[in-house]
Amino acid sequence: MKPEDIDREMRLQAAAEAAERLGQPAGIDPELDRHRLVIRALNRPTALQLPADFAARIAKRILMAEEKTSIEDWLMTLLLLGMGVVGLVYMQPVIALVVQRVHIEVPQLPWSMIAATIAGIAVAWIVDRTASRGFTSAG
Amino acid sequence: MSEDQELVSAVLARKPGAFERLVARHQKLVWHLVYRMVQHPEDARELCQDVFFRVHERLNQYRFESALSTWIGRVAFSVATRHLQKKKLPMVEPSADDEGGPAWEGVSDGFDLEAACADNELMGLLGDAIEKLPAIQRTLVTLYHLEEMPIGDIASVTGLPEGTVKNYLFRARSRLRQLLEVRMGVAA
Repeated sequence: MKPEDIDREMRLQAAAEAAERLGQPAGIDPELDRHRLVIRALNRPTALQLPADFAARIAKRILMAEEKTSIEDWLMTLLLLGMGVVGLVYMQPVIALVVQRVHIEVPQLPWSMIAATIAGIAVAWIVDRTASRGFTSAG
Repeated sequence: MSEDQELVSAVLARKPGAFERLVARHQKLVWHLVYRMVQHPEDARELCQDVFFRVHERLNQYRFESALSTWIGRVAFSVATRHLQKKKLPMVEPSADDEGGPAWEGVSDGFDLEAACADNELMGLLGDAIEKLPAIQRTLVTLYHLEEMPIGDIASVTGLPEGTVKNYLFRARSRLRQLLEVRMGVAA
């Protein structure tokens, strides 16, 4: 296109857009009307649309994914906690042996109290984390 | 507090129904953008879901520097662009815009805009021609004409300079007008 053709085309496109926006009557300038027809075709929405319940479905899927993640977190934490407690119990003789070998005088440890304290801290941590994630009220 | 801020705060505070409202408010924009870019309904539906999952995941990074629709549009554009890249589909095709030249010489006066607009065959032809525009031009005409987005916002969504956006819009409309005139036997 020559520069003057480009200028003319640009003016016609702008005029057609303005005429469509202002709802001006057609039939005065056939050339402008053809540009207006292009604008109308471009303004037409696509035939296909997203389903009407798309937003509800997406929100539900996100909520479900969050709940699933929270439950997985719970299970993983409980599993690790259980493994920790079991490990401590099984390691008790080994720890005692090590302590004896290096000649450190330690008082008899209340293992059940230690396990209960660790469990308490873990539960408090889980409750705090769940509350901050909005586990029960995610929208 | 603006509507965007209110909505974003509600989503981040996990108020029931807030994210659904956000999706409902922006799904038309996301659909038009993604569908016009990828042109495959099934892929487009899945990508729209991906867009909103990503929006949900990253909403805490939104800093209100642009309208929420622009930010979401940018996410949608990036998701659709990545999809096209993965499928090795071009965003910009070699330009054939200037071929043919102006078609107004020898124009006949018998053009009825309302009749042409009601002509399904003609409008279908134009619709097909829009679908055949290069992906980037389809995207830009969609954002500009269907979403009525200002040029500055379109530049922000696509990362293109405003002049380039205007140039692509001009070329797209020019190409469609040429096609229309050839179809109607207006051009020599």
